[in-house]
Amino acid sequence: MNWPAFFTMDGHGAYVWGSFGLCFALMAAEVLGLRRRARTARLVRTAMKENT
Amino acid sequence: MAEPVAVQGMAAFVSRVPSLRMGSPARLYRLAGRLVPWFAVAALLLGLLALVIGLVVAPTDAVQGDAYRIVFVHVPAAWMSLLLYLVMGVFAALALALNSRLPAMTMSAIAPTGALFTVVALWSGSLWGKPTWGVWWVWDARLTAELVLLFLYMGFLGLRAAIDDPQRGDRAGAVLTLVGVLNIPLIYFSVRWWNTLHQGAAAGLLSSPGMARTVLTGMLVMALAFCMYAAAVVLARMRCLMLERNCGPAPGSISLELKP
Repeated sequence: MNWPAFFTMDGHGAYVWGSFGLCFALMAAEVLGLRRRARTARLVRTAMKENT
Repeated sequence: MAEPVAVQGMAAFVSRVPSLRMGSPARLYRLAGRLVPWFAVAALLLGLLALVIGLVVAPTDAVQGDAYRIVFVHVPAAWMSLLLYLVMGVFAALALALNSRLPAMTMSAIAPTGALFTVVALWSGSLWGKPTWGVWWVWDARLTAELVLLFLYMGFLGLRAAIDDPQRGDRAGAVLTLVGVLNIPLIYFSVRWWNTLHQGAAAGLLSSPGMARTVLTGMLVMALAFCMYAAAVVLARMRCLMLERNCGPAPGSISLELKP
């Protein structure tokens, strides 16, 4: 495989990698955000159960 | 308030089919928890396969060069933005017909992911437009309708955030979503109804038959990966919403027993 050609995408690298990049960056952000949200929700729920 | 006949009919139908009553929320919560990892793994494997097909196997296009590879993100993301909105529309009808919280919560779980795919479709389209059309953006029928779709997703999320009373919020969100469903055929058929800059399906891209098959396979595998991803994320968000709503003192909140 020709790596430099792969990265430059015959001059369209910024466009191609910009598209794939934003897509997977947003997906990763969504997954991480949901993990944090689930953890917080579980903590709050446990705390509320202990208080009642 | 009088319900339309169609809504009454749907409510009668749903009440007679046990599986549509969705069982108990606690069972749904546990089932969703078991399904999420499977959908996530499927999304990862299919996504990697689609990347290999799209970036390595598929040959360079004679006309567009490698810029056309944006198609492997752009088209599946655009499909997902339409599909997720249609699914939201079905749950909006269910929410209004059943006057129940679970379909409305499902809508809230879908909307952010739908908005994500709409942003990806618009962004990748813009990055594809610059090298091929020479412009980032035009007020073409399809581009404009897709932008309206983003505003519909945003509008739904804003409306849900703005209305404190959960029942009124559920209703308002469902009505807005159902009205917005009209936009979906507009997006899909826009390239046929109007003479636009945005090309019709597969035009100009699939010049040779061998290329066409590889490109189509790559797009379909990526679309499948996005479906699996959406299923995993929506179910995970459902679980968060169930926990959060149960925490608050909101009327009609779902009682949920969790195993430690």
